[in-house]
Amino acid sequence: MSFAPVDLLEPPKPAIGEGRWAKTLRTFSFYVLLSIGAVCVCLPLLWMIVSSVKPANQLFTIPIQWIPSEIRLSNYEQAWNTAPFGRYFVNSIFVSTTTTLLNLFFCSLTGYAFAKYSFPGKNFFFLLIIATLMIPFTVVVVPLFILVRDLQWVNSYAALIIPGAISAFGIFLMRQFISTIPDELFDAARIDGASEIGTFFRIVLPLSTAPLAALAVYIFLDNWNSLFWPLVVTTRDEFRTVAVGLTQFQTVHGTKYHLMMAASTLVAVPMIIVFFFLQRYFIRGIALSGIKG
Amino acid sequence: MVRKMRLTIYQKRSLWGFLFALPAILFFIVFAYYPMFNAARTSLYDWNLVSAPVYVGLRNYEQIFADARFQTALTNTFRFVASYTVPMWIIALSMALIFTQDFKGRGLFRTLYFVPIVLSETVISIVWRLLYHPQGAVNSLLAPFTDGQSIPWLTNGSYAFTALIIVAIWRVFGYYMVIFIAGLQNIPQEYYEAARIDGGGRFQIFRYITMPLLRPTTAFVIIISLLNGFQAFVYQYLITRGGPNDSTNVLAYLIYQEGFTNLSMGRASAISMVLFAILITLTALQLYLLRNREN
Repeated sequence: MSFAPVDLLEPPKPAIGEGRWAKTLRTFSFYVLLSIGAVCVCLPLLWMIVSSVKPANQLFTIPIQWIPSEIRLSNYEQAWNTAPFGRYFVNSIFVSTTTTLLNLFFCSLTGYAFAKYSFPGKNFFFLLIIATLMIPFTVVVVPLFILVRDLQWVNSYAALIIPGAISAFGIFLMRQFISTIPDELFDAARIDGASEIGTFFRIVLPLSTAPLAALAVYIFLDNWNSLFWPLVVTTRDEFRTVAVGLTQFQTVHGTKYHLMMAASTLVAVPMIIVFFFLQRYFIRGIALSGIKG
Repeated sequence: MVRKMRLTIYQKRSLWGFLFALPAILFFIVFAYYPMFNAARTSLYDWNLVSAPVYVGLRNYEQIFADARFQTALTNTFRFVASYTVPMWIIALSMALIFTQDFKGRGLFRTLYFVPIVLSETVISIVWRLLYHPQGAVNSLLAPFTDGQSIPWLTNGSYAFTALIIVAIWRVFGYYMVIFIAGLQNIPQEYYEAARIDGGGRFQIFRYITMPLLRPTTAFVIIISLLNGFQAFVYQYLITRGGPNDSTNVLAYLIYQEGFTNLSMGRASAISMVLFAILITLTALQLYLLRNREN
């Protein structure tokens, strides 16, 4: 089976002896098309990085100046000092990590309960939780804000972390996985004197590392990238996350384009590096979410 | 004499199970059901967060439906969803079909196509806003084809609309491509071999083997991308600010404006309820259609 897009270029039946040529041509054009696509996809990113080290007046030129006349790393220093990016990073790391850990613990604990225990109302409660997948964030952002305000959580880590501490999707994922662990393992552990909580820590958690890793990457990125909610519940730099801080930077210093690109690069590059190292988990996490359907 | 209640080992165990699930149950009651109920209730009040809420019945709904801005945002939301999802599905599936073939450098190309999804919507919105600058990179690259005329990407309504569609597709197609790849890889090879032995053409194989077996994945992609599309907010907020003249305003951004800029909690909640009605209808419809097809 040959590659789909090349079919368009397929020449009329090659005469004897031309087969190899045709094949080379096909392969060649296939890679050319694929590369053009890849360039289109990555160009905005490249432009961001190049612009981040340019002098202010070299960003908007026709044609694009891909190689800056001088490389100004001082843009980064300036951007970093214009807004408290250090604080934003600490906040984002703290909020995303805590939210992820809470999710891993509660999603697997709840998933365990629904996979391996029977209690009155179990099906009802499971449906109750899964049905919340039908309640999109945008629909409840106003009342959720009112709730957080009534709790006096505006401008606090609690507001950033707690409303996202447990994910219904995570519970579903963990329940599906934990139901595949054989019951005999739990019985054996109980005979050895393990408590119910003991079985969770000794059997469920160690055996669930694969879905937990996928869930962790998914939740972490979701929180790291989230804008709407942190934007609404933070008004002070002390609690702003990177996403909100960057938005703020755009509002306040909207015309310092080169600094804006330096700031964006500072935010984007760690994510890209993390992605290259954790690519496997990342892609598996997405594939997992697709298979649930 | 009060007899101490004794639980059998099974009752004890089921009590533990319930206790394990309890935090999550309470969590979703407080952070999902209560706000949902509250959205419905607040939509019946006039409230600016400061003075006491005033009950106004359905007046918020009457007002928003009579409001030209709301009508524009509602229409734009549907237009946005329709024009970004359909091309995106086609691109994602075609790319997935390519990436399930065997060729050298497959992993590298897949990674490159996937990069935009790693960046946050915030970062890419800030970058794209500059790319769409009158003398920005997009116009610069298009200059040879436009006789040097600069396209008013963000200052003309229909261009601004297209600009956001491009960004939306550019960012997520890699994500759905990966989901399609996973779905395609789950189709057993034997089906393809059998079809080829029976002399099936490439299109026939796609139509009668790939598509039906890929249906669960396709359904998932369609549902999730529609749900996300209807909630789009960041591009509108950071690239166009809903403008020019509300030509790119959508419901999610209008909720933000009414709720957090104008502090009209009642109107914002009423818009939220309309959005909820749309999403729930859509999901129900899809589940219904899918069920029918399976039979």
